[in-house]
Order: sequence, then C-alpha cells, then structure tokens
Amino acid sequence: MANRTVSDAIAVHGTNPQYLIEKIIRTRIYESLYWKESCFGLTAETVIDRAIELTSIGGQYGNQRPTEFLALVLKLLQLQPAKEIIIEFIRQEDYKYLRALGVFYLRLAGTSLEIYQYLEPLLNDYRKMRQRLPSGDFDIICMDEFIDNLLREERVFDTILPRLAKRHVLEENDELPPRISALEDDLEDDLPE
Amino acid sequence: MSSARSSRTSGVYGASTSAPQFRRTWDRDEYAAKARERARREAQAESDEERKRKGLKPKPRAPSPDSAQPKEFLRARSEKVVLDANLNRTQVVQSTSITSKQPGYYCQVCDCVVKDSVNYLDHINGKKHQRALGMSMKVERSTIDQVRSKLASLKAKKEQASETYVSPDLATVKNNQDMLPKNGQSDTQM
Ligand SMILES: [Zn+2]
Repeated sequence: MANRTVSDAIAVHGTNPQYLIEKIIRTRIYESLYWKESCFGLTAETVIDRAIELTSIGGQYGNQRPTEFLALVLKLLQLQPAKEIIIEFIRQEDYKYLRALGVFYLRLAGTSLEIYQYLEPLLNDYRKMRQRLPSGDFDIICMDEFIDNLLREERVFDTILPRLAKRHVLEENDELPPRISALEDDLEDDLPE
Repeated sequence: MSSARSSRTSGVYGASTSAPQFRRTWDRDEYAAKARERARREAQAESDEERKRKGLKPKPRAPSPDSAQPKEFLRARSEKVVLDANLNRTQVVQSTSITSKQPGYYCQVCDCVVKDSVNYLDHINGKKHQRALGMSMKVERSTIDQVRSKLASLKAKKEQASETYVSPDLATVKNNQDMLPKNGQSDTQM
C-alpha cells in the first residue's frame, strides 16, 4: 500500500534501500498518521514541501514514536531520487531542515567518498536546529554537530549508519584530497612567515 | 434483415455514396480487434473452467490490453484530509441499505463506508480507490530541473514575503556553487 520502493530502485549496500531503516521503526512509520496523511504520493520534488515544514530532527521519541524527519528519510529511501537531487537538497542554503534531510539520506545511501565530499564542508554551517530527544523534549543541535555525529557515530536517530571507509584510506588511494578545515586555514593566515 | 443487407449494398461503407455521411461509419479495425479480444477472453475462460475441473488454479496471464489504459501517476494530496468535519455532531443513523447513509466515513468515489479515520486514510491511499480515480500506484520520478525550479520558486516566494534587502556582494557569494555553507548568517528560522 504505497509503501513499496520504486520499481527501478538499485540495491544500496546490498539491500532494498528502505531496509536501511530498521524493520520495527519502518513499521511504526507506515502506521503513523503523518505517513498516511502527509507522505502519501510524494515525489522527490514534493518532499521539499514537507521538509521545509519540519521544525525538528530526531529518531524516535516518547512512546517510540518516529519523528516526521525519520518518516521523510524513509520516503526518500523509497523514492531513491537521483543523486544530484539529494546534492541539491544539501547544497541549497535556505532551508536547514531540507539540508539535514539530504545529509542524513546521503549518509545512509551514499558512498564513503560522496559522504566526505558533501558532508565535510558543512562542518562550517553553525546554524541551530531543534532536535527531538527520546524523552520527547527538544534540544538544540547545530548543523556542524549533526554532521560530526554522522561522520563519527555508528548509530544516529535510532538508525545504524552503514560503515564509512576511513578518511586516510581514501586519501592514500588518491580518491580524496586531505581535508583542510576552515580553522586550520585561519591558523595559517595568522602564522608569521 | 433483408433491408439491412440492402442498405449495406447501397454503399454505407463505400466511397461511392454521394449522400451526406449522417450515418455513423464503423471502424472495421476497431471492431475486429474487439472481436479478437472477446474471443481470447472466452478461450481463456474456457481453459480456466477446464483447469478448475481438474483442480488446478487458473493460468496466470499478462493483463489484457483493456486494463492497460494509460493511467496517471500517483499524486500527493494538496489539501489536508478532513477527518473531523462531523466531530461532536450528532447524526441520526438509521438502519439502511443506502451506503452513503451508513455510519462511518463515506467515500463518494467508491460508494463505500469505512469505519474510522485510520481506515479511511488507508482506503483513500489504497489501490482500489486510486484506481477508481484513474491513478496508478506509481509515483512520477522527479527530475533535477523540477527540483531546482521548485527551490527557486520557493525562494522567490520567501523573498517576496519578507522583502528583505540582499546586498550585491552577498548575492554573488550565493551564486558561487563552491561556497557551500556560510557561517550561520542566514539563520532566520528556528
Ligand atoms: Zn474510495
């Protein structure tokens, strides 16, 4: 019932992309009113309307209710939009929750290389977002903090993140240039020659 | 019978007739196709009947061309579903066989009643209802251009609403695709 993955989807990390969200949470999302009322028939384009209405990010809260954020992640996994669409979500600057959505999706479905390429630059985005805690309360989390969690943690928002290749491995294979953080840049400017 | 035949010989189909074509001309090809389709269905029904007698299931078949009419892509609802229109209102429920008068949520499209709001949502999201609306259960694949123009129009709307002044140098930074994040300058909404 409209919970199927698009028929031309490609397996991600060897599985149906939707399975990247654990089964029990997936089921809870399918059964949620938000899913039935607001996520039905969405396309990658109309997901934007829902994403910009978001007022928080998070996993499950209260009595194990999945957040709307997680429902939209699942919707994207179902739709498997073209990579360039996800990059557009990440690249745009007007809607931080749309960016957060694209980022979380890319962390789940992207390659290690893409993840470093598109997530690391956002470590300079210090905008504040609201995060729904498991207790149901809200907390403030900055975009860079969220990105840092996605690059370091194994589990974020009750979701197991696929294994990320070590940065230095990609560097040694010449796939990725060494990262220069904005901070390092500043330091070098200050150093006397 | 004989009169029908005589009218045919007088050239209803032929180009020879000089009378104005007030009579509907029949498309022979279409009729032939329909006849073939009917024959095919009858043959299928017959073979299914035979299999049934032998205790077998009917043969799985490709959908007939009839059911393969082009359907529209699934569409998201643009309005919120009204589930509480009759909330706190007392309605007299009579024992009746008219579907629309029975208690519950009535679907005009399918002329059926579902018992509660969740079931109603399941119904309107379901295949049967969507098919009745002429929709397939397939969702259109958005293109990058659709996404870009969507974002552009949202931005235009936003700027129109706030009428904020964007300094020229900030605008050039915004156009530079390589400059990804800015240090929290545009933190307007929380
Ligand atoms: Zn219906």
